Amino acid sequence: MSGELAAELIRDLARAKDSLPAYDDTAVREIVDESIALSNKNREDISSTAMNQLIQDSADLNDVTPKERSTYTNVCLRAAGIERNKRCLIAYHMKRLEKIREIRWQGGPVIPDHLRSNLSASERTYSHKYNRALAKLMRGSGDLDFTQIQTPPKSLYVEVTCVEDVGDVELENGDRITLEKNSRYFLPRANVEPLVRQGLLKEIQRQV
Amino acid sequence: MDLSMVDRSPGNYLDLEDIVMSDSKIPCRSRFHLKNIDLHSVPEEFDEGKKIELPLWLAESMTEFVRHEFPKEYTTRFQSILRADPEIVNLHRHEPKYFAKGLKLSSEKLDFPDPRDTVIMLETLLEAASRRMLWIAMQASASKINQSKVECKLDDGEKVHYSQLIAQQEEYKEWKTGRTGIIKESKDRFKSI
Repeated sequence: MSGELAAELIRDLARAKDSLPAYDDTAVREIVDESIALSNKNREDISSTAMNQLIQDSADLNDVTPKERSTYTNVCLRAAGIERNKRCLIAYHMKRLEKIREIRWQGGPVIPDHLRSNLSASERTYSHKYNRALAKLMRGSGDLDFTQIQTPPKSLYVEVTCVEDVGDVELENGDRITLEKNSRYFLPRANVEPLVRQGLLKEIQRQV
Repeated sequence: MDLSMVDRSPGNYLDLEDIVMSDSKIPCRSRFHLKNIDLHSVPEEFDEGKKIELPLWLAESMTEFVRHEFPKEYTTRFQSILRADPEIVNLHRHEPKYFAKGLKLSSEKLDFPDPRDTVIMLETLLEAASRRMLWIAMQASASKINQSKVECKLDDGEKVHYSQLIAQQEEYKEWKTGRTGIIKESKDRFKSI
């Protein structure tokens, strides 16, 4: 049945709730090819006067020959399949772009390599342009980083423990610090927040 | 209740869950004798009145050629079980997106034999949803409860609601102990694998 490839594409994306799977270029091409084939078959069938009358609603299905009725049924089936494929392809691409924007807001301007390799060339271009547009907006708002400090902070400094070796990090005041696994640090929140979101550091919860 | 109060807007065109849900099948019957129909990979013949299972998205487009029937989870028999004791019914086993599909079945594009059956079906869904929501809220606020035993009975929409209620409970506990504002790891997997 037409629409099955598209359904599989959407199911795979829906299943990968919190991650971004690799762009399935093969499936997208196959769905487009399927839609083109359906459209071509419909163009062949929609040639007779009777078929035109049926499509324009000026004839009743009971008044045409069984052959014309079956042909018209197939034309409608294929048209529904084409619309279904179109919906699935648009939803697939829009959801992925939404995910790319989320990654920017959660993880910062640099996409991790293992996610970057899952993007198509067009998506990488989109990500780059989105970064630039967001940076321009933030510069125009007095260099305020909207993506950090998304909840009102209780303090400007936080105590964190290092979950993985991060290496050298530059702080706001220009100092450099090396973050080593299992070590504790007391650092400015603005520097620490993106690293905590990425899972490299963990804030130590104080008991009140 | 009449169908005019049901929100029959087409839903979010781009919503993945809606697309997945519309793939689930409903029984239909052919209005005519049709030959050489390209429904599956080989041409098929359908006698008038023959039963065909079509996905919802296709059933809506083929109203000129088929009449629709309620799937068994939405028939009077199942509805009476749901009406009697909605909290114990394992909806996920019958239909993972039970309520969303039920709402979709009220679509004007579907042609069921009696529109009153649609009204009765929606009234049962409304009552069952209200009672189950109360039960889910009680389960979410109870301590020492086996969450997986609760979740396995819920349909997908209810699972989202249940996990939101649990998250709200956790946020409230954090607020009580002054731990709001703790930076959390993003749910998106950004760590190198």
